[in-house]
Amino acid sequence: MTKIDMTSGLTELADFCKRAAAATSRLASVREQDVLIAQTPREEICRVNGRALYRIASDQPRRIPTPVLLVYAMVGHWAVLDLQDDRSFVRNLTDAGCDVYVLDWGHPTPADQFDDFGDLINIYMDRLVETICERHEISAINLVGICQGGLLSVCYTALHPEKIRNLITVVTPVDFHADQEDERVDSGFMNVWTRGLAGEDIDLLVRAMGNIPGEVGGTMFSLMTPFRTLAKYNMTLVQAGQDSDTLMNFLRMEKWLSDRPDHTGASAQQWLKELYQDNKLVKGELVVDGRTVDLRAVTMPVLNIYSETDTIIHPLASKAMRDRIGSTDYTELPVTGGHIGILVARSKKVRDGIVDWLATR
Amino acid sequence: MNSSDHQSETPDYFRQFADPWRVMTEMWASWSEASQAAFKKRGEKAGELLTRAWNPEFWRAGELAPFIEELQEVFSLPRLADVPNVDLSALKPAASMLELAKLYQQYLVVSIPLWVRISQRFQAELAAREKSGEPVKSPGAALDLWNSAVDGTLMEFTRSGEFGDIQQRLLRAAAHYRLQLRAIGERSARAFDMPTRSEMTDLYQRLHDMRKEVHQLRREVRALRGNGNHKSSNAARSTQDDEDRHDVRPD
Repeated sequence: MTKIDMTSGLTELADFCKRAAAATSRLASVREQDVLIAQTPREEICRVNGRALYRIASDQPRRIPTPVLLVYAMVGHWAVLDLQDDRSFVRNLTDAGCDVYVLDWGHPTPADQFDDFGDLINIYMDRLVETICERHEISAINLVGICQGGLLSVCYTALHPEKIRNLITVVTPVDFHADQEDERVDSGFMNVWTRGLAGEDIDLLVRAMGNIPGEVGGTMFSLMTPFRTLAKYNMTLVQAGQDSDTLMNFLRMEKWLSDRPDHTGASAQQWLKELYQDNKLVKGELVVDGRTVDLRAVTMPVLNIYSETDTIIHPLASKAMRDRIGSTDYTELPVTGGHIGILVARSKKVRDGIVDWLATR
Repeated sequence: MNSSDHQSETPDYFRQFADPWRVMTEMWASWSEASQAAFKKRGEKAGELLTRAWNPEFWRAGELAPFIEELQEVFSLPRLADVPNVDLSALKPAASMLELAKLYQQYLVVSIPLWVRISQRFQAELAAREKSGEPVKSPGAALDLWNSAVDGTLMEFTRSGEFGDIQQRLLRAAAHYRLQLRAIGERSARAFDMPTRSEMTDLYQRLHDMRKEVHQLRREVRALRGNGNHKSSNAARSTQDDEDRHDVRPD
């Protein structure tokens, strides 16, 4: 029978209480207005029906002459790409010599519930890409898509290849059934959950809600890592509270997580039914505004960054791009880290991978 | 009075009873025909629904809100202009609420044994560590092991068919409930002459379609103007930028 030393147990308990007190003390001195994210200076270039295009300010010399457009997912706000000074994906890129633009999907209202992939890709993205092209008097840009933004970027590139010089995808799913080849408990939950529903269930959800509330996505993410969810506001917060910088980082993440934009209903239907359930993209059956998205039309250089330890997007779902696109210049960059972790990490591996790759193209 | 007079009275006497009796019989026959007609049209379906309602499995796994709709469909009558419409719509929100409560109970039934499984996993891991010569010595280490057991078991559970089934039914019940609440809200809104969600959704659809058409037309105009000439298109663009700036609400 296992014998546990109760004396050390009391010591551990006392230590935990001390740490909890320290965390409480630090937390008590932080106000909501002290927690700031997306503070890198930026300029609003234009706005289309609530979707904005920002240019990130930078006084660094331009190593990459062709501007880069970052397209984040509609699930969660793009501000995670600029979480804080030393954990800013956008600042990393600008410091490395990129001219960075960011697409802000904003906060969809009920009036936006009928925006589908056609609207997102052919109206908003295309409009903003054309704006960048005209500002710089160029015909094509570098496009960086992240997660769902990566999927939209891949579709955009397939439909408008002449406007994309280089395509970079980060933790982007392409084959939504690839997780079945390597079923893991710690990845691919969304794939399993959506395949457990009928198509009519998705239709019913959209009919009842209009836009899918951000809280629904938040609940799904909580279910992916249930223990982390249970332990976040006791163990994790106490641990973070031992250091002011770590606590502020935790609170910034919380601020970002609490800003959960709704997802437009029509695009959510396509996302869940046509991709997660029917996997139409890799089958060549995904139709956007009457045109089939043909991945073989993606013929420009492609850099595909994925995480081997991603709990949200199974790595095989990203790697499937290799055999589907028409590009002869395809590069993979595997990294380790969480789905969001690789974007907010202090490590410059992702940044250097992108910039070094772009510099030769 | 002679015998012939006596004979003519008897038929009249019987006729006095027979005629009303015949009319009553015809009346009952008519009602019987009416019942048969109704039964032929609705009886089979009604019987199937009521049989379903007697099945305990229905109360465990069935969905009440669609059941109410089917009942309504079977027993509904044509709309009469000057008489209030009597339907089962008042039952629907109650049915949806009942369904959610039922699912909550079922969710507990499914999730409570999880903690037994977690304990078993924890015990097994403790024993394995003991056997391998690396016993857990401190409460902190035991807590770490417990947390690991919780994490692993919960993650397996959320990927299980059992969980998927409950989630699906929960989603349906919650969506039906929301739709029923919306229906109540719309009736109230109409009573106070206020816009309803259905009307707004219809407006949003029309607005979306118009916006799409406008974007398409602008694209065609730009193409006609020769978008390849950046200088001329920049001048044209500034006008179009102003036209594009019609935010619905600020971020």
